[in-house]
Amino acid sequence: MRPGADGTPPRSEVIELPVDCTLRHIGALKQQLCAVADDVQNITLDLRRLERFDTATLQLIAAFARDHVARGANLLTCGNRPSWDEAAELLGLSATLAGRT
Amino acid sequence: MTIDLTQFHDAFFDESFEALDSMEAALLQLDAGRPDPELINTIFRAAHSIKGGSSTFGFAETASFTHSLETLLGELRDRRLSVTHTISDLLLRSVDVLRNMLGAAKAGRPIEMQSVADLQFDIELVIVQRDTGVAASPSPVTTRTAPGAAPMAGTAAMLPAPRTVEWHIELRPGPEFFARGTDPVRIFRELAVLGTLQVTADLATLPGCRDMAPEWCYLNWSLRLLTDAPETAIREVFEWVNADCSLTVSAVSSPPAAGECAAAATPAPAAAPWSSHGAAVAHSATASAAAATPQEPGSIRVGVEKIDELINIVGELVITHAMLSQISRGVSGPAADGLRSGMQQLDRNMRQLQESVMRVRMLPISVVFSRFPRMVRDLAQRLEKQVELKISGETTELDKTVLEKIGDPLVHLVRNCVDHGIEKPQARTAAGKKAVGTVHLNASHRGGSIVIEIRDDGRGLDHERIVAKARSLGLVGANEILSAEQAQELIFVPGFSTTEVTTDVSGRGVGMDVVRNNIADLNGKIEVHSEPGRGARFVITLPLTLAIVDGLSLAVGDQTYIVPMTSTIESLRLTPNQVTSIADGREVFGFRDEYLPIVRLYKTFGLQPRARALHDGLVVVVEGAGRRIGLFVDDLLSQQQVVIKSLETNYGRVPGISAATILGDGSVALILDVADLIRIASRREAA
Amino acid sequence: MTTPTTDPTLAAAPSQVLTFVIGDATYGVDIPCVQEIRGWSAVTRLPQASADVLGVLNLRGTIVPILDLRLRFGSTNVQYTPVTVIVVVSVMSAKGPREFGMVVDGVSDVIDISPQDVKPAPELGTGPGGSCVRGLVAVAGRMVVLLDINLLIGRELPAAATDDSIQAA
Repeated sequence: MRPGADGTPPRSEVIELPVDCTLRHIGALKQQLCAVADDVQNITLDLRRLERFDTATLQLIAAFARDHVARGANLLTCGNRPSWDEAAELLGLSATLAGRT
Repeated sequence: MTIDLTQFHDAFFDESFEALDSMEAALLQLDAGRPDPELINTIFRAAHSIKGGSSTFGFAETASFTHSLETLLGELRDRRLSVTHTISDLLLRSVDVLRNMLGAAKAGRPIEMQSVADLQFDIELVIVQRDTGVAASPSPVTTRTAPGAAPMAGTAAMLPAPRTVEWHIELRPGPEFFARGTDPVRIFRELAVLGTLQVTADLATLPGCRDMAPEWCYLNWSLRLLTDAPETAIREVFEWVNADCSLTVSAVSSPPAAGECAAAATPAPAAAPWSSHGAAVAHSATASAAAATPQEPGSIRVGVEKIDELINIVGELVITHAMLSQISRGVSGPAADGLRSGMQQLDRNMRQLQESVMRVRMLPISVVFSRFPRMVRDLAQRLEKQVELKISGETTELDKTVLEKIGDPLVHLVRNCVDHGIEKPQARTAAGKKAVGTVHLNASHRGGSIVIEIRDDGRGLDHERIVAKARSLGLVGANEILSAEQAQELIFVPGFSTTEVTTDVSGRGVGMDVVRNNIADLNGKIEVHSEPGRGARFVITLPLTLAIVDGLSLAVGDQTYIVPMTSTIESLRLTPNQVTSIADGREVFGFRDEYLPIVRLYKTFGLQPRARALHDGLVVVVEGAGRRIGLFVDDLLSQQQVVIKSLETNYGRVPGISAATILGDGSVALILDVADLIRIASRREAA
Repeated sequence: MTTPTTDPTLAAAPSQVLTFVIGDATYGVDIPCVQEIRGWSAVTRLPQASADVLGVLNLRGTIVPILDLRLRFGSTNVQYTPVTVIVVVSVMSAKGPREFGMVVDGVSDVIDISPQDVKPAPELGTGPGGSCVRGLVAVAGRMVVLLDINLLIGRELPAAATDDSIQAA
């Protein structure tokens, strides 16, 4: 049963990506992502502070996005990061990261 | 689940130092007037890979410095700046600074930041001056295009018109791909510069977010690249990609011009004398077609562990082969001849296979020799000496592990030659020699061994001073008379050093004994030959490989032992009158001009021998750590190549034993550690 | 909450144990540790090893030490015949997997046991094998002594024998 269907307001959560999400800090990011419960309906990735990331970052976010989209959550991003979009495009992960499967 | 990135540090440092070496080599070739774009590319890629790894592993200073360096190199590559002497000097200094930084990071020492900051400032200044137009830019190329897409003016006419080809690239990284310092997004970005790139990620093996180790790489990629750049340019992008992946690059559409070329070749067979044969025509046509697509002779980066796996398998084959040939000797009947000739064929193939596989692990000794020209120059300057370094045989190849371990001993020996061997110019001219001294480094193959020779034309070893010093240290008795050979051996005794004034060059304490031990660890040996006033010559003999050793098998009771051939001098049968019994049952015998202790192996190892009387068995004179003993054994069996197997994997270190091997009948034989046996024997004497 | 040994979720997973006989006693080791069971063949002696380390054998190209568990557990009259059995086991150590062979009188059976049936070993002191017993379990009226291979190998095969084990003779 999807949360919200019984009249309670859908849960939302904003995940703020830290400044450095590269390989050395990827464990912390994973913990942050794993803390998001499976009944959160609207997940927003806040990329505004993010400065450094690499393929490992995008891979992790892709897995996260895929998991949550598969159970029907909405995935949004906040903050305009051309470099993020460019990297996603280069890695062939644009669709997954945008929540399209 | 997290993984510890530090486990990849060693690989990163290895690759970075390698990259620095190739950077330095390329810089030394770089011609300031007409820089070869290929060389600049090489330098750029080296800097780029160091930068990538440094930021992955959190060496922030190195990453920041290489970032500036890379920017400068990018300007050179894209011809917005030209290579001047100032710039090539900056680049050479950068190599030194990076070596220091990485060396410090590797050793966990703090980095000396002043020189780094100074150099970084200079580099950035050059870049900024370019931007403000202070330095004249020779060619105002501003668009960032692929080198293949827009050939440089002047070379354009020479090149055939580039054709656009669709390439299919499959990249399947191993789990540790990121951790080893490769970031696919950077690679793909470089590929995108070559043409039109379309990337598809394969998420099939990507686990759920909660189940994944985020440091691991789970994704696979397939890429389509539309480019007119040659295959070499594509492969170059992957050049620094670590071994932990599989990569295929293939052309999707066969290049149309290659087809044309093949067609063009067909009507011209008259030129070929053997054109009447259809096959020959077809052959020449395909040959030209192949020539039309530039084929890289090709080299790939392969992980050492993969090679070691191959070597292990070959080792197994050697053992199986030995087993089969032992069986085949006992076979009779109609099939026996066929079997034996088959075995001989197999024997030849085995040896070839073994050699080829071993060769994969081999690197030229120039990797080590290349550091000496600079070292000798700096040393000579500091010591106010004039020294010419001659290097020969630098293409001689030896095993990677041997190579890594021989570096330090060689540095020590070369330093010694310059510091102790070569005299100051005045002293040399006074002695009637050229003012400039010579140090000669030579490497060569001799039989199954590598011989490295370090020779100088300096003052040679001063026997009298060595002996006097040894007497004062109590190493030699007051009335003991030593041969020249014995006197020279003294320099390898721990703690021995003849320089009265300790210099900061050759150090104190750590001396020739360490050198000898390091070489003994590699199953090698070192000898010194010296002529007073004429110079000294150090000769190092090393096995070609550490995986297989030439050994002599010995029988003691029901056991077989292997002693490495490099450690054996001679075997002899002693008559009772050749042996002298001294205190508490110890026995010595005269060998050449010295007395050697006899070590009865059955006693050391607690076995029941077949021979207890010395004249019933044999004594094998062995040498280790500069000392000799006579090993008493029942019999010698044979000389054979054996594959070294570790005892420590499943058990532990065994005193007097270095490793084990598997014999032709499948049984295990232990390999003697001669230096350790001598140590045990001498401790027993002391006790 | 209950203690882990009786936690029903943990107890749900039975494990398989290989049993073998030494003298009158039956012992068991976890099946996942067991690499192979093979007949006796002559070993190469290791100098100065303890009495129950018989030597080393070549098993599929690796050098594996052979430990006579019978000597270890106090038997005195042991024989080595073609029917003598070696159980080859593998354990994880800090250096990676380590293999060794154990000489036993004979292999009996593979049995399923549930963790809740395992009784803690009574204080066996320093008697033969006492220090490497993981627990006891009764199977068909017989007591099986479950051995902890890690403890056994940890005690018997030190990572690096010191050369003091060679006595000046």
